[in-house]
Amino acid sequence: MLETRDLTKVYDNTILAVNKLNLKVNPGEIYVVLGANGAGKSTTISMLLNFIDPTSGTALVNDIEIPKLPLEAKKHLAYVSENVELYRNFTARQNLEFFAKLGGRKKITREELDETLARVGLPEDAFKRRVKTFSKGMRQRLGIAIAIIKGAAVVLLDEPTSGLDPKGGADFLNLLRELKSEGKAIFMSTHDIFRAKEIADQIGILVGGNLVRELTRQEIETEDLEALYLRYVAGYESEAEEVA
Amino acid sequence: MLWIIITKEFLEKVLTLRFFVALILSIVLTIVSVVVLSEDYAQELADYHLRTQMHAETSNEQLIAVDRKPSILTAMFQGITKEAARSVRLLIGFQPKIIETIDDNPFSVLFPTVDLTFIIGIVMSLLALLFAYDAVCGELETGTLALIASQPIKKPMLILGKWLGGYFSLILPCSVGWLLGLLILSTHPHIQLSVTDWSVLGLIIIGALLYLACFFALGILISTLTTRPSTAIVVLLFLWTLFVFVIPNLSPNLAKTFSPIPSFSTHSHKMTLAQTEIEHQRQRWHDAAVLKVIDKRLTWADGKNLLLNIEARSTSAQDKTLSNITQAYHRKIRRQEQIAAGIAVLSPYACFTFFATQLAASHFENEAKFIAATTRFETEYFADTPSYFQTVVSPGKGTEKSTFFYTEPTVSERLKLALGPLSLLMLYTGLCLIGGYAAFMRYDVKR
Repeated sequence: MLETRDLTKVYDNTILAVNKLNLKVNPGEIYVVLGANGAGKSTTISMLLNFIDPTSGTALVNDIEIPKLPLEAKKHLAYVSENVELYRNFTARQNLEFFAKLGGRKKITREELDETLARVGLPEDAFKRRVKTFSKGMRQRLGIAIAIIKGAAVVLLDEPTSGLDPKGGADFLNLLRELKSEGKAIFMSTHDIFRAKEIADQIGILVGGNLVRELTRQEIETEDLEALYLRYVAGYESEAEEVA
Repeated sequence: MLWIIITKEFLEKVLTLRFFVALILSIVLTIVSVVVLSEDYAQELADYHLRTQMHAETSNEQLIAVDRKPSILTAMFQGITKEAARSVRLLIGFQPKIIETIDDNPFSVLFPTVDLTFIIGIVMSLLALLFAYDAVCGELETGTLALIASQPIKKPMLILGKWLGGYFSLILPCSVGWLLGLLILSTHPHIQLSVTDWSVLGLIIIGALLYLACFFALGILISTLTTRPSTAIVVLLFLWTLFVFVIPNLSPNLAKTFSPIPSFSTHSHKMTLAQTEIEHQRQRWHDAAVLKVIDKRLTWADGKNLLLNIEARSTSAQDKTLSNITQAYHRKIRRQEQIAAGIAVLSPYACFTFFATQLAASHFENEAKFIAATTRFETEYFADTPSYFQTVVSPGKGTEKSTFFYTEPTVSERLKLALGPLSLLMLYTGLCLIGGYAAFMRYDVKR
């Protein structure tokens, strides 16, 4: 389970990137945070991965406080980033094995590696191919394989579908559904409203670092998400203009 | 965990084109250099034996030429060997004079053979930067740094693993080149490597490893201070040019500004003026003495004694004055050299060059030692021989004369001198490592 409590980040004592963020992602749930560029999505993920320390508040993964016990917390977190290129001169297998070992897997068999790669939909001939020959979609699948093999309870995805073609995007969402069915808590940031609507159990709209609205699955299906999102963003922009 | 990072870094570099290029460059350059320099050394050794024999045959009580035996180490780490004295002519009553040797091959002047100091100091240092420049910022750009940082690994462990793995991948191609070079040297029919030679070569390799570590650490430091590999490589090329070319080449000129010395012509002119002045003084004293004899104020016998006394005083004054001028000139030169060396050691390249040439005995200080040895030998050799101007020259070998044999400093003596530049190299490496570590601790792992 992933939880944030008044999670706040202020850069250089002046720029408020995330303001008192409170959210909870339960096992078997997909939480999508929607927001424009600069809304605070990446900052939130950076704090969840302890890349940066929060200014105040905290975040917990499986009841472990991330800022206090980052190494312990990271054992329960898997991360899939936007446009990760991985190690271009390594094969898919080598990349997967490296990250699996780094994630704490001591012994890992060739069969297990191949099973994971097959599970994310990579063709068998790609297992021993260097990643530099992979398409973006294939690299994203490998990124998911890296997250799967770690066996972490929480998966964080930072704009994972950006740049994927429609089929690649759809395949990717199917993989997320599989992870959800296994009981993983999934936290995904995106500005792709349509994919968010398709997969999310909860959606949070982040504007100017503030979580302005949270929607349940039922609300997602009934509300006009696009109009709602644009209204919040437009409201924030006009407010910002007035302040300026 | 550390081992996983080291292995990954090592393999990642080994699989790149730059590793392959480094391997080829290291092997080709080292082999070509060792083969050519070995042949040059064999030729030089044969020339030495010939010169020694020739000089033994032509020497006499007033004139002798002494020779310096070439060493395989000075051939491999040339330092000032090409410009250094090979033979010195000793003539009674005169300072030792270097016998100039003429290289009749113009191509060797246009395209000098690169020695191992050049290969390690310039080519391999550049390779070190090419291996390190994207170690951190490159991974930031590809996103793998964030992916690694999302794993349960401590940041210090990550940078240490990157440093060690990358460094091992750098020294692998370099070591292959060195091993092949040593193999060629040890199997060369005309080269006998002594225990001293092996010890010195071992020490130089240790220094070379430290030198490459310094540049590799510099590469990591700049990589952690930048966010793009293209920026890092530009900054590093600038620093490399500064350290390898600008500082060492600028140091003599800066030293000239801080501690100017007159040109050799000015010095010679000063010597001539002093000599003329003393000669005039001697002439005045001589004339006065002769006048006294003519005026019968002195007897012939007293007059003769006075003239001999004047001669002796003049000679002594001349020797003392000229010696003082020469010593003052050499002191200034020495001071300028020390200032230049003090500036040059701001560059790791200069530190390595000083270290290697001190150990190989091809440093400019070794030239001064050799000349000093010839001066001492001259004093000893001509101790019982009357002045050239006081006797009729009688050619023929002197009897019971000692033979000149110059021995290079021992390994411990050389090491003592090489410790200074070695310590500075350690300092620079340490500073770059600490800087890289500190910068990485603050490095934003995610774009």
